[in-house]
Amino acid sequence: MSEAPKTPTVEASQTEEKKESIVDIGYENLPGNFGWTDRAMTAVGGKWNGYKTWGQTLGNRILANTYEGTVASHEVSLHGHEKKRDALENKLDTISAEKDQIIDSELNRFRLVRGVNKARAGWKAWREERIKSKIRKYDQRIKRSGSLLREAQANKSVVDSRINRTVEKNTRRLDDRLRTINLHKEKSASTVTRLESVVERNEHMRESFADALEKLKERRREGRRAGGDTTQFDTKIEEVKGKIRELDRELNRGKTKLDRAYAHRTRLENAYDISETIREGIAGRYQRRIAEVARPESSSPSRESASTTPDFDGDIHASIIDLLAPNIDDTPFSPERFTQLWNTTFADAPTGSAKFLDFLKGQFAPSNPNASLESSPLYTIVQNLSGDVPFKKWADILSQLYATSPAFRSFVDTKALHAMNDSYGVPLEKNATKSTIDTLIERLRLSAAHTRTI
Amino acid sequence: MNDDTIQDTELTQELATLGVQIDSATATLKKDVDELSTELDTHFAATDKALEEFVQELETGEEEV
Repeated sequence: MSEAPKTPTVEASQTEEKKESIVDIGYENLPGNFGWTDRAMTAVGGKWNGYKTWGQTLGNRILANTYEGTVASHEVSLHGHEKKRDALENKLDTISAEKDQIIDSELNRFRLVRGVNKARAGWKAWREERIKSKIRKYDQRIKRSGSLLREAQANKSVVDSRINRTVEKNTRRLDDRLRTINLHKEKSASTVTRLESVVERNEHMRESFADALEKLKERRREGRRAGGDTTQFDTKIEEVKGKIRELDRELNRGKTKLDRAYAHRTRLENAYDISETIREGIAGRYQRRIAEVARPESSSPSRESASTTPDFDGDIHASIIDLLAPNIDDTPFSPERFTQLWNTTFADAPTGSAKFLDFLKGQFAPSNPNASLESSPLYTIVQNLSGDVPFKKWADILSQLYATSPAFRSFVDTKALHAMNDSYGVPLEKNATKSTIDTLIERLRLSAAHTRTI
Repeated sequence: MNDDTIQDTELTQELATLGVQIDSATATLKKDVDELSTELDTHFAATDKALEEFVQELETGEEEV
């Protein structure tokens, strides 16, 4: 078996960034221009620290949605197990009837005694027992799925109520503050209007005073030209000019006050904008997540582009890579993490790895028109793998494939999940494929979320 | 010279009247600005407090339970 190349798939710094974003899932995922918000917060005299708790709320919303996905996933599993069990029950009935027929009919009883039908009846009885054993196995699965479903429902309910409680409280408190601000804004608005009118009126008066003074100065000039003594007028004119300067000072005082009022109004408006950004940010994010789950298959975005975009889709991809990729800093890949992923996606499917491997081989078989890795050493690796590949090896292989092949990325994100679903034994119904895949994506996400919180 | 005297008297009176008008306007303006500034200062203080509380609300929020 060939060894998977050891080339790191992610730079160490990127890993660090990823770790940071994992810790603080909230605020950096909020849409909108946070540079602007920072500035706006500075403008209202605060620092933009609020996102931490508000971001927590967002984080919980995401978690709730994840739990919702998990609930759906367990429902699908349970439904699948129940359907399988029903099918086996039917099969059992048929086999039992056939066996009884062999044993019961008079002719057959005669043949049975003679040993003719002994083998046939024995074989039917053996199949009967085998099916019964399978039914018991499905009973266990049903019990386990039911228990997981109840657990997920309880988790979802806890997170939902936590979100509702917190958002309600925060929103109510923020609303109270904004109402107070608004009250003051309205009150000050009328004062500002009055001051604006006073300033405007006095500016006009000042202009008329200046005009009048100019005319008087002209008459003084005429007096001078006539040879008169204008000294006393000069003194008087200087006095009037002084009075106008006094008026100007008062006007400027009013204008300065107005400027301060305008700046103040901007701060109040910023407070509103910030509040709206937060509301829209959280609500918009939540809506987007819901739309994402409900999105029809045909309108799914390109996974390749999504994997390079730091949006929510990107988070899913990052989660997958994070789970699959070995640590770059040479610390051993955590088998627990991969086991967790494995158990949540291949649970109850002992042959899942072999089936998945078959699927991989099929996917990259030469006859496959999508075979983009034929010339790659990875193709050989996949071809040479056995079904008993240990987790560590799987992690190496899958992370290498994921990092090097857009086709494989797309495959992991869609078809592989479909294949896992097949291996898992959940019957895929028409029109349910996308949602089933989505629930599996949710599982991956949940695994990632758990890994993150741990 | 007589004409000049009349003109001087008129000009002196007009300048005095203008001075009185300006004084009156300045006094009224000063009074208005004082009054409205005090009113605005009260609003500023109140809104500053409200803004401070708003920011505080954002900075702390309600802790997740």
